[in-house]
Amino acid sequence: MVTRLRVRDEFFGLALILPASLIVGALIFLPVAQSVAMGFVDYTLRRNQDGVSWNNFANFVYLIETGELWNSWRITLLFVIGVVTALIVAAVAMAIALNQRIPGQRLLRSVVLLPWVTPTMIAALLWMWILQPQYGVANFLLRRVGMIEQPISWLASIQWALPSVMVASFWRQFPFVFIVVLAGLQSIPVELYESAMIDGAGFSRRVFSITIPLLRNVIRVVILMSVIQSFRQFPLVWTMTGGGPIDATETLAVLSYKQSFVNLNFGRGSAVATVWLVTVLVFSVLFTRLVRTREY
Amino acid sequence: MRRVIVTMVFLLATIGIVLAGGRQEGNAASVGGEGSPFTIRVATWAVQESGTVPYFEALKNDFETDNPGIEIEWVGFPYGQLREQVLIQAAAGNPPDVVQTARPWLPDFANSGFFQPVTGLLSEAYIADIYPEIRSDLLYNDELYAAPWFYGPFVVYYNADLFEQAGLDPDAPPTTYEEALEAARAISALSDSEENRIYGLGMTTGSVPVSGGAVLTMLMSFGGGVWDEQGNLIIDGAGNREALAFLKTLHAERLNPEGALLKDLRNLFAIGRLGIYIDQTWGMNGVMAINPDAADYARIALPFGTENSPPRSTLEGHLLTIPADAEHPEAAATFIEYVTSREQLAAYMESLPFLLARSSLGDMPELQESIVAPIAAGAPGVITAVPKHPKMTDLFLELTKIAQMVTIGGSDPAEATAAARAWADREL
Repeated sequence: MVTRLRVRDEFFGLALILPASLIVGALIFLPVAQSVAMGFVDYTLRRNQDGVSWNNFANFVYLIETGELWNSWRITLLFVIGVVTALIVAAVAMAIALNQRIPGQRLLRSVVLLPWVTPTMIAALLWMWILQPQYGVANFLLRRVGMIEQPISWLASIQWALPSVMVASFWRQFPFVFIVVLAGLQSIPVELYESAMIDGAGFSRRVFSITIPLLRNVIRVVILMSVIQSFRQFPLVWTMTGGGPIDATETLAVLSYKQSFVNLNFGRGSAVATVWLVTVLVFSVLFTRLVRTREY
Repeated sequence: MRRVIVTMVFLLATIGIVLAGGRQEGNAASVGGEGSPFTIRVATWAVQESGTVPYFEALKNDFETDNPGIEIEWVGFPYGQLREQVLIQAAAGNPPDVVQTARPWLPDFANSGFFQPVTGLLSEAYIADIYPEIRSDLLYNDELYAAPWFYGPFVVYYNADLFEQAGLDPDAPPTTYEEALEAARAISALSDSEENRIYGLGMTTGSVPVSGGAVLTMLMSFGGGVWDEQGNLIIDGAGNREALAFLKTLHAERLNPEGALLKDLRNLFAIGRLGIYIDQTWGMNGVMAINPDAADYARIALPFGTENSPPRSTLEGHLLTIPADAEHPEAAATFIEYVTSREQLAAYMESLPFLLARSSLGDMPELQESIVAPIAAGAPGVITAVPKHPKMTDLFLELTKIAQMVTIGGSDPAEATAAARAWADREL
């Protein structure tokens, strides 16, 4: 009798999750599986295409032999590491600063959120104007304060294009990271700081012995989300530089898009996307295993 | 009992989800029998541009009035997305009936098989009226795959005021790259009222396909290009090395804003900080949008040649194509002939400077009054047909890359052309 009831419970549970599972499966897992499979065949966008067949890793071999995959992978890692590191450091610092009782605290918190409500495409166009070499405000200000003599072609320079796009990406993602860290900060009991102060702990001691350890779980989640967000940052890079100059900003996302939608070679585009997917998965698994959640 | 009902509801929902995943069969709004009203879907980026919105509203009204029973539905996409979106719609079996097409996309469309020749759909007289140089550039496997809405070569725009300030004759603009270099040096010696640098000669080399078209135009005018007339690769030839050496000189002497997109050049020209630049004829619209007074100093000329080679240009045009699976191909052809009629082109010309692709329209008064009038007669002669290679868009991006290599990358022209050759051997 007990067994029969358990089976009915399980059937009932399965029935409840079946529609959602089908939707998720059809809209997420199926396209991902199809994309991975396409990476192993010759597939270009053509009408009446002959059947596709296994191509013996030709897409991957091409991408490795031309050096495109390695270049994009390296640029993507630089992009992700640079942006996420800057995000975490700046968000923690800003959250600590704006968690104090200072004049204009509410206004500042609201202003910090502005980039978050700006659509990515608009943000890209905005930064293109700011960084425009001849009449952009960045060069204008830097020349006014005497930091540069000649205008810098931020987005047309091999040296500066990637850092410029990273700054724009940082600006776009910062509010989300900041607000999550601030929320985490506000959940830390004030009594801990008060007792630390009674014991004579200074500001830096309180930050490194109370704030950072107690923010560990929040920072862990935020790093994971920022890494994923940065890995899939495409519209900003594509709009601002198109992957140039001379492939200096060709991230995996840009390379995948170029192969798929510029060359209409979905086989190669999917091969890039597969490498991209595996990279994110490996990072996520390693990160969640190495940096475990702690209970306080 | 309650559990059974809930389970049944969820199972029914599951079945509903599965059944809802079917393919859309036809456009319900446009399905109709013979004589029934129907809708043609026209994919365009121009309908989204604020300067031409009034024209497109009037066009829709005029067409629907003159063609009872056919309605137009604009399918608007930004320029940068239209090519991909249309191909995806075509692959899904639900393409628009007419597609506004930039010339560099034509090889992709024709090669994909998702588009059909317009030869049997447009009248013979209409096709025969298209300038032969333009018609030959729109052929794929000897079939005409697009009707030109309007066209232009890459042209030279120059600032007559800056010419005078630099001691140059605005009525005798340079005709060769050698002369243009001298003029650029003279103009670059000037500065504006706020002591900002004025650039002599703007050549777009940004990482976008249209810049690749401009680079190819320059390569061809130096006697180079990608293929010779027999179809052999000449991408590492002497003409291209000479052209890249010219570009390197421009960069070394800081006569050209580096890595510029066309919109950057238009902006600089609009604010009087660029003496000469290469653009599509309709690029002047972007200039005027920023500074309407630019009409007072802007002049136009045919693209430069060199001392040893005549001026040449890729065909830059807005074309109209018909997908193979278009639901109403005949109505699509009717629309194409209507939108390229004398009256409609005259109305469109009020908001956009362009050249007309058919010989019977050469006497239009609106053309004679346009900024492009001085080059109208000579323009068809500089158009050079480019093979419809399926990797044309990629090729254009590769050409911007070799231009960037010799400028911001500091490479030698021979090094850049060798890299291009290696790429071409692999890809073309």
